[in-house]
Amino acid sequence: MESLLQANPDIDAVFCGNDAMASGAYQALVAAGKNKNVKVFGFDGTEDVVNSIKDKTIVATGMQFPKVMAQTAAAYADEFFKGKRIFPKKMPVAVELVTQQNVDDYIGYGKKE
Amino acid sequence: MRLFKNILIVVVIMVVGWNSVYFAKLDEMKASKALKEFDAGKYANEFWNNTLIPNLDKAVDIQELVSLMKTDEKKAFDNYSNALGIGNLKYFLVRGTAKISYIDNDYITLDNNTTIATEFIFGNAVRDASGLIDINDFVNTMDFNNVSAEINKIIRAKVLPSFKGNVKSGDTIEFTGAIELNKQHVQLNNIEIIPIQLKIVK
Repeated sequence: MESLLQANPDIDAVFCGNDAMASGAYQALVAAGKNKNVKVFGFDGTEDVVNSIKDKTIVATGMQFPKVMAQTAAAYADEFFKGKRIFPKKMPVAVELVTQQNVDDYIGYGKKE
Repeated sequence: MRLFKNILIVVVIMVVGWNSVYFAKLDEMKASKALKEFDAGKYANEFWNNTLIPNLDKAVDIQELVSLMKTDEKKAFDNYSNALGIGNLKYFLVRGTAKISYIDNDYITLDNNTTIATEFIFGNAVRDASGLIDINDFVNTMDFNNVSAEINKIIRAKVLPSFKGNVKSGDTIEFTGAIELNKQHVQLNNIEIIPIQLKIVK
């Protein structure tokens, strides 16, 4: 992130491939004194970044639902062991955008129950 | 006998060798390979003309949908939503008539508490709202996602320009489009409609 900032001092936003990178990018922006001017976006929906969105330091993240994925995989495995053999080849899991407007609906890696 | 065997082996090797090697022009090979690759633009156009538009009569009136959401949310989702796979995001084909309250660079705001997106046409709402495309028909997910991108291009190129050029605040319009609602946290204020058909009535 430091070298990216040196090469592109006038960037407006950073979209990161995961939330750990987003946290790191934000720290680098703080160190460079640019955290107020550059918007940071993450992806995954970790607890740290959900809290950062509440604190208005990170703008948004794409919430994945690893628990839903794990539960679905386990349920399918159970059905397989019980004899079912026909399953969809692909099963998309919807990714939700967590922003400052809706962050109160979310916790780390999921929705508030 | 041995000579015959050797001749036979040589003949077999020549036949196999001859059939294993052939020459073709590189540009012809590239062209034929391109033909076999999935053409998301073509697929999206065919889907738009042959599947989506003929099925728009299945769109639910947005006021009717909002009313049903308030009284029987489950029935509203069960009867009218579509989605791929699992998760809370569900898509609806909607239609309606409304008066334009105001127009800005990104949206047209209607007097029925909804907006029509006119600048940022992204996402999978239109592809998934009809429930007529199955992800398992696609060899890879990138092709499937490109179909969405191409559908959104059609909206930007064919649906919006003439409409945006003529519409003004106060006009009454008829619209058909797709919306996304989160099943676990339904927000009925300011529903965003991705347009499929737009018509100025007066």
